[in-house]
Amino acid sequence: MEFDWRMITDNWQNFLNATLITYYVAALSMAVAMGVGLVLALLRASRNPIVQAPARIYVGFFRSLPLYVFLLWLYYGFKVAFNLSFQAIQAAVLSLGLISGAYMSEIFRSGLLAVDRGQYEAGFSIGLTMGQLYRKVVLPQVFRTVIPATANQFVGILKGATIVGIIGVFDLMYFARNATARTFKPFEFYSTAGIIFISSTLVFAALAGYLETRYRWRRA
Amino acid sequence: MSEEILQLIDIRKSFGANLVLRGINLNVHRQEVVVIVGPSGQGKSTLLRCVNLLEWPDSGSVFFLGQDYAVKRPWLDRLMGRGRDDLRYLRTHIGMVFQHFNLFPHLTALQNCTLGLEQALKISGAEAEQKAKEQLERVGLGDKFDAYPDTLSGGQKQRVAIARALVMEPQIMLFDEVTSALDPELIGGILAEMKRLAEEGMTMIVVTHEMGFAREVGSRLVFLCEGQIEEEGDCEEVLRNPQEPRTKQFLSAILEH
Amino acid sequence: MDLRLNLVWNARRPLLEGTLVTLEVAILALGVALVLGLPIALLRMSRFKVISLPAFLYIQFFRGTSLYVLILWVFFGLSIAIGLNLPSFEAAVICLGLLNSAYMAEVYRTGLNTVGFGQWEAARSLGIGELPIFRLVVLPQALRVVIPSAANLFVDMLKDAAIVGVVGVWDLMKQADRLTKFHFRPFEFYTASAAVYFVLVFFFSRVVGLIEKRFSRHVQTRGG
Repeated sequence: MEFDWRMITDNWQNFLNATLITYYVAALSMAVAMGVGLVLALLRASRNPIVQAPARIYVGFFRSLPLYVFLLWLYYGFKVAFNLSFQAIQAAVLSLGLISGAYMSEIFRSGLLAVDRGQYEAGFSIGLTMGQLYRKVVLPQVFRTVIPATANQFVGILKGATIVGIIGVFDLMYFARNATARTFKPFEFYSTAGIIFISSTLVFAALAGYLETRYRWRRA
Repeated sequence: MSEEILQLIDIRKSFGANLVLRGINLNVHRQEVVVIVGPSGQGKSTLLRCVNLLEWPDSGSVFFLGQDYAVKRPWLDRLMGRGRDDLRYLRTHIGMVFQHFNLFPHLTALQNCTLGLEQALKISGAEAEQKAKEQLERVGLGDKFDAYPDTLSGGQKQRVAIARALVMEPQIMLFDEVTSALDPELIGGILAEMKRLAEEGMTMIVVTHEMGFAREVGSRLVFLCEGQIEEEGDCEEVLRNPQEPRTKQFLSAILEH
Repeated sequence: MDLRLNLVWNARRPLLEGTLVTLEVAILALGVALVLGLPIALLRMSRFKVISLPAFLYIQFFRGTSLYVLILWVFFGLSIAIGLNLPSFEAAVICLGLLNSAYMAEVYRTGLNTVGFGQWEAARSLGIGELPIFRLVVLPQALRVVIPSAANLFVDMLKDAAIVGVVGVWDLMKQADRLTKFHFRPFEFYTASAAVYFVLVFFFSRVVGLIEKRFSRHVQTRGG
């Protein structure tokens, strides 16, 4: 078995671009997930069961839905049924983001619950409104607590993002598949793609670990 | 003086850079109740654990009934499991009760007691159950055979632990601060059990802070400080008239209560 | 919107067959993960770096990759490189199984670590040998933690397995794909697939709940 290194060296630029696209999709999805997750967590923090209900339904729904199914449904199914078509990248970010949002909401929720009752009492006693309290006191603390779990979730998103090539997003795996079809050298391309990918996740996982230790003692 | 059943000779043990036991020499005779006292964290538990080799001394000998068990065999032997029978002999003839009970939570009280019989002494079935039930009844838990540890109080758990050790019919019983984790009102019950055992002639080595027990039941007192035996002698004598300055210091502080 | 649910109903046979294939893949892969995970965990917990390091690397490797990357590499890449001609079903089971064996190893490790050191000491003090201690005292307690986590992992595996169609396994999604291409009705068939997954996940999550309840009896967090 000879490894054709030229495949790699000739294509390093393509690999780079494709990898960046993968990161880009993951980053956008993360942003969506955080936004969605925060809203959901705030909804669930309410005492009112009517306000909680949509959030709980959302989380239960999207945690039961495989990413691949949702992706295909959004990209192919949606357009036929509702006459609304998504570009591949939009479908990718939307599906990844909405599903991860369900998981992020759980992370935010436990972060919210971890904030001591006493913080609220102290805030009210100096005259803050609920909104000010959340913005200035509660949420900053929540962010500190959830950062490690969020970093971990990002690794999960990165792994999910590997399949978006199936609907045509020009990401790392799409490039690998394409190049394989052209050159009939699957081992070279898939191995390189694999190594790039695993290195990325390891780096981010290590980052998550570092963040976990860093933010552990910062909590009052 | 009855025969010597246990000799600890020049026991040394370090944990990393920490020299915990600095050459302990101790002889125990049959039917003696040796009470080991001293400041916390200075080697009492470690010493006790060296008796049944839950901890291996770095150097020194542990003679039980004339045989030295603290012999480190070459690693190949240990890998092949030789010396395993010796270790099992030692441990099935010496029983231990722990501070935090260490009952097996997934087994009933009865099963906790039969496990050692079945696995280590190869006594199984009806015979094992019979013996276990006897011991549990003797510690007053005849109605708790099928109870799981999480349904028992601290005192009851410790009784099961005692029964579990006694059912193996050991020659020596080791007690490692067995009342320290109990609520105050339950301590008396356990101490009474231990007193009963002593009166029945069991050889005991007890690590404890309970000076009342030492005075009433103990035959010999050993004061362990910074990994060395500072003072040792007849229980009542030492308690009444400690010779060494540190012994005096420790006893006056602890007897203040 | 013109919904043709009758098409889905008419195609219930292939869809059901696909669902069964999906379940088969997931269950077999679970078996692989459960069996492989324990020795890996034990190696990882060894005192000797020589033994624990490879296990650590194994775990990091499989935790760092996605099923899609792995399965493409194994099915297309390896087959050319070393002439490994795995049929797609087997490849799917092995990849999903290997991947999750790393997660299971961590689950086993956590489970074993929750069994306090005092349990080992108490059993040793009775003269019981190391292997029987592991079998009769430590493992039963570890399983109380391991089994609920493993059940949860299975639900995740079920969801992950949705992509095995890309290497040719005739699972639910591949059947749905084929039907979509035949009838040009992606919405109906993908919705049907999603519905099937909902049912599966809901069902197995309930099972997980029951398992968790049954296994939290008689468990204490301290020495016991």
